Amino acid sequence: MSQKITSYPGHEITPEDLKASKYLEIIQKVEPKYSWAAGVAISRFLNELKEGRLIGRKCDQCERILVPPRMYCERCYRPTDSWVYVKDTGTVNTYSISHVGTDARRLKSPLLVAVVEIDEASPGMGILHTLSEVEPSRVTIGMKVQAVWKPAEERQGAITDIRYFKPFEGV
Amino acid sequence: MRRRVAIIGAGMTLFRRRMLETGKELSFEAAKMALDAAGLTLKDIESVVEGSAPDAFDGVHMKGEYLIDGSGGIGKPYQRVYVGGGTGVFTPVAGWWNVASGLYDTCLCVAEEKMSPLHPHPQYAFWSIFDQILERPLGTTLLWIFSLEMRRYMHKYGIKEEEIAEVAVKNKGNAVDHPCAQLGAKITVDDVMRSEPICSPVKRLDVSPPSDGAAAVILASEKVAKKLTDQPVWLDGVGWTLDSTHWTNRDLAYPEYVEKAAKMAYKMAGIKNPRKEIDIAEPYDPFDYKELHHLEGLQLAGKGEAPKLAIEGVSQRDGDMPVCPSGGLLGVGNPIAAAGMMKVCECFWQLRGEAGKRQVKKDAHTAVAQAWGDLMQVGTVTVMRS
Amino acid sequence: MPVFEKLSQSSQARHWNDSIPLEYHYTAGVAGEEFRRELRDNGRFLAAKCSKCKSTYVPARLFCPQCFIEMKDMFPINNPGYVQSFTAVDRSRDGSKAEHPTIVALVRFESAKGGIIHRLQVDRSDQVVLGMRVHPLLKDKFSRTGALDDILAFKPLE
Repeated sequence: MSQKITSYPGHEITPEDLKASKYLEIIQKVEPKYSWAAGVAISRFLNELKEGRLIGRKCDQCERILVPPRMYCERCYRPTDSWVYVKDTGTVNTYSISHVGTDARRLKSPLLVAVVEIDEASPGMGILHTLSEVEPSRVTIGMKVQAVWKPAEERQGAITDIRYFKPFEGV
Repeated sequence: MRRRVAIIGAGMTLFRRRMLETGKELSFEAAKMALDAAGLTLKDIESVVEGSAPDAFDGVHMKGEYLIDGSGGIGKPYQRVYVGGGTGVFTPVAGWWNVASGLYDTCLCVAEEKMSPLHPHPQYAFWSIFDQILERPLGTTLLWIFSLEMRRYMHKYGIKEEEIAEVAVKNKGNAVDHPCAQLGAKITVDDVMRSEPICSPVKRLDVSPPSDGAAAVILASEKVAKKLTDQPVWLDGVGWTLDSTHWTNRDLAYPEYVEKAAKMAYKMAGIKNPRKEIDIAEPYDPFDYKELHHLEGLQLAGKGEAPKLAIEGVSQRDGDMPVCPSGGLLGVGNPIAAAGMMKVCECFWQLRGEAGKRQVKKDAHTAVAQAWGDLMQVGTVTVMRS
Repeated sequence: MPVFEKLSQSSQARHWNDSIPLEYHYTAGVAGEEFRRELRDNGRFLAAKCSKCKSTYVPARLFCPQCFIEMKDMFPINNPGYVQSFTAVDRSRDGSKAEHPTIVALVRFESAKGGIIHRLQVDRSDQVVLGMRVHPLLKDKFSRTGALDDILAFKPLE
């Protein structure tokens, strides 16, 4: 008794319909405001960012150094054990050239974004950030990069205290 | 002792950038079509599962409750399930719990998404899925994680953008034959390569569109299914797993959570060699590389080897293992939860020989549908048999 | 023993302040669009009747949620409504005390399910009686859009 399908329901509103105001549009704007608690681990991480340092948490069972830090190890499912400072240099795990902003509108100039694996953290421990002082065509996976910090007096304990990562210049 | 569960009806609305229907109306239309196909009325339905992705698209804070009228859930045991983009396949998985457990003999599963209300673009809702302290302040968009993942996948296995573009060509081409499709088109690899870069390496034609739409299936116990139809499609395996939201700490080249979900579903369905036993695959393809990524997670291609399937014709509709014969999200459209459910509907129609112009050439008995979502962390899988 | 090492000074605890600004452009749906056209063009409320259970719904809907069938029978309500329940709201949305209380009522229509929530044009809540007949006070036809604010308030029948 299987039935063959004859038609599918639904009525499309085309862009032309909208332009011609064929249908009533009700516009509502909402802007809920939040004050999120950073919690134990990320409060410390933010306080260290203010000092121009990156910090992780170590799990003594799997011996991973976790960045961003967390007070529990999600693999071993136990509390992590100690704070460990890590370097502010790292390796590009992957990158992208973003031509659009948060709301999907086109950016005036493209933004380089990357997952940067942080040196002295366990392999694969990356954070999301942006890259600059480099031509997009010169970026490669595996490239060494270093954090470019805001001046101390401008830092506020935020991920943006690192302005961006740039190609590593040290030895 | 779990009971065998069958799909006995399927329905879906048109998928379009903007539909006149409200979310409730879309849900009703898809559910009613599925009920009619099964020869049932709402009175015959014992429980209802509704799936819908972020509330932010509609700006309705209790979306599950809001959609209850259209989902046929009033006065019944009603559940809303949610795992981001994985929701559409997770909805019949949750329906399976209802029936396999012995609690109910019939369960209506409805997945709906109305993305059009959010301005200037539905993309914006995804900004708030990122970590509010460490990621949002950087000006994130959802496209970032896709492009970062795509780049990593290409890098690890030496895959070219042109090879990935073959998936967009195949799926948009397949969608030409889908009456509900939003973006069916005959395009070429060159068209994809020359389309506007959005978030390099992701280009305009690598991406599925935002859409409004709904899709539904009816599940029944073996006893009821056999009374109602001589063509039940058995939901023989279900699987789902989630990884952590610490996505920047993860291997971005391989979806381990999809592998785990697939292995759970295969084990349940008694599938030992997925590549040999599965006739049709509907993996989640919001981006063309995601189809490849997921085929590997589903164990239907070796790591880094999925691109060959489209190029060599294996995954084409007339191939040995058609992949996204529906046209996928890239072609039919991507109303998040409804898109995953559309894949389950497609497997149902294909296995019953009711897919019309989309019917695959090979004699198909086993199909797998898969969806993926949240912060690159969810795999949901169903295995179906005729 | 506590599971976690705790922050020992509250000054070390951080908060992050931000918002999620969102803008929605809603359309009214299949039945909603019919409803708003009737309100805009004729100043009346559109109802829908189920051919199976004979229930009438105001505002009109596309389908009967009980019988789960489409309702094709749509017609405007001509009778006045009545006050099913009401309240005097003396707070504004942010919780501060409002200058004048707003009298808000659920207005229903004879033999119809559903109803419309709106303001009542009365000075004091003791002027309201449950069941009292009311009719909508409309904006003039040319400034109506079909939105619910085409109705300024419901007014007791003389």
